[in-house]
Amino acid sequence: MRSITRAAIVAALVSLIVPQAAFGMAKKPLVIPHLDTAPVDSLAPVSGEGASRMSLLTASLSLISGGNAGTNSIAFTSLTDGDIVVVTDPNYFTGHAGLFDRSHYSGILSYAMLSANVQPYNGVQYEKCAKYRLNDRAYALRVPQEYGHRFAVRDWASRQLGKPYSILATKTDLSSFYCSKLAWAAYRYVAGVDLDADGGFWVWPIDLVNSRYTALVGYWG
Amino acid sequence: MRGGRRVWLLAGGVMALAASLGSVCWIGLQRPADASTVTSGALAVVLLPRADGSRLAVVDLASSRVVRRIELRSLATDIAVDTSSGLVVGAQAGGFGPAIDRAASLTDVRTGAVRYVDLPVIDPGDVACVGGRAFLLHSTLEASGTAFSVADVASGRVTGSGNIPGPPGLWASAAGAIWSTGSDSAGRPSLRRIDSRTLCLSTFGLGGFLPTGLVEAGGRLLVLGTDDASGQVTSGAVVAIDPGEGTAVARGTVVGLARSPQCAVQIGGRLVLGDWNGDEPEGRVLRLLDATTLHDLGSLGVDGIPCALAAWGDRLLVVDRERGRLLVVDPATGRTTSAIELGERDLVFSDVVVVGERK
Repeated sequence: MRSITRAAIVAALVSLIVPQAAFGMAKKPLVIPHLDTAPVDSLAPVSGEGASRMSLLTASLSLISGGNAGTNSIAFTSLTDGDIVVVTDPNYFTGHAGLFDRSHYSGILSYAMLSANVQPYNGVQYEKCAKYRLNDRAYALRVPQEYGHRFAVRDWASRQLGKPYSILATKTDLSSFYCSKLAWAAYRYVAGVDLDADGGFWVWPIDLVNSRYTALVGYWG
Repeated sequence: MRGGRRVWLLAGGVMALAASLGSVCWIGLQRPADASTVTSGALAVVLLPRADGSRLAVVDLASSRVVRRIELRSLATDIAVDTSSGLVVGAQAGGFGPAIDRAASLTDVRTGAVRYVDLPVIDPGDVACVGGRAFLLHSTLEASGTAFSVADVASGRVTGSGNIPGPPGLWASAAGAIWSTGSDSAGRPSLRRIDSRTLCLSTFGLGGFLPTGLVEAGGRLLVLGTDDASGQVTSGAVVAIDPGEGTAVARGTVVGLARSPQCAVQIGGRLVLGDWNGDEPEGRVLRLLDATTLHDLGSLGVDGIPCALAAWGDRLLVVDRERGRLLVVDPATGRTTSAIELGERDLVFSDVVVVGERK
């Protein structure tokens, strides 16, 4: 019963907020509208004044998110340092984002994606590329006008390794990160470009897809 | 009255018999439906990855049949066998965000029973077993490097933890130790040995050799990789390492593969190498080397896409990623003697281990 309720809530929210036509497109969609709520990674413990920032909807989204069983065939060989990968899935409402580090890539079982996960401490980490293939859809993004900064962007992100995870800190607070904030901050503070398509308190993974500064290297879904 | 007592005794006996029969039936009903098909012989265990919970397909190699499918609680990205207990240990990395996990699964594939050991940190991506203990490499970086956890398989308890400098690399057990790859302070590739008892770390330089695989074969550590830093790999190499000194004792060149070798398994006097790493193009060819001299012996064509290898006596076990099959191959002739459907196709990746030996 609970799963049915969850599925119904997911279906309703997805149909309401994310046009299905926006997914499954071979080219980059111009805009995928959404509410500026926190990425679902927000199950980390919360306390203090930051806790009050978490909206009811965010909490609800956290509860209805879950695992998925889809796959995609993202070609990591088409990526270069500093490229951003965003994966989404109907059951993983906000998706996930990571920054590619080619110097650590030797196949999909290697740890070459820089991101942050739910862990109060040591949240910024390298992830196995194979995990990004276990979602329904994958967007590979590049920032063409900052291509010359790609190594600096990658190195900036790698210097954040081991920093704590937090969904409640402001975007400009560089003492903690969540997945899409890491990629956003790397471009913001190395190249001076703001990849958050619609501003707001949080930068969603899909904000990086929607950004006018990112170009689609590839879409797999 | 005496006759009545007999009736009561008879009735009591019938009821006791019925009760015992009932309990036998009840016990029978509680057993997994496929339990009777799990033999005491060798079993191949194939990892079928899924973000919402990986599966283990258990194959009875004597009858070439899948006898059990075991569902794990989260995505497992690697499996290994603890030879002292026969349990299969899974690195339960989980997915992203709230779906991430921090456990090792301990599976008795003969009964289907699974236990989970909660680990101190999240995202264990690789596992290797030595001396009844499972060593799990996390992708989580701490101040002193990448975290690893140690769990005693028999008791299911975490018994240790540590760090290796830098980001996570390759991870394997060989010659009674745990081995990993990384970079030194100048960014040059290096090999690390973790003493399985003391957890002390030793580091050895690899020169310009770029490792793409670490395997134990015939009691030796083999480092698979390439000398070509340009990425335009035309040939790979295999280096056998002295586990005490960390120095190369033998070296062989690998030709005929699309990329540098990623995995290897020793079968008799042959070393079988594969180059699957998830990138296109996916080859259908394995390479054979002399296990002692590392001299090239030619190639072995596979009826499928070989993404994981294991040895079963004198037979080679190959997971065909594309069609989701376990192939039993005679490496001497290249003939596939059995092809077992695993129930899932287009595997994102896989792993295969053998529990029990071939008689």
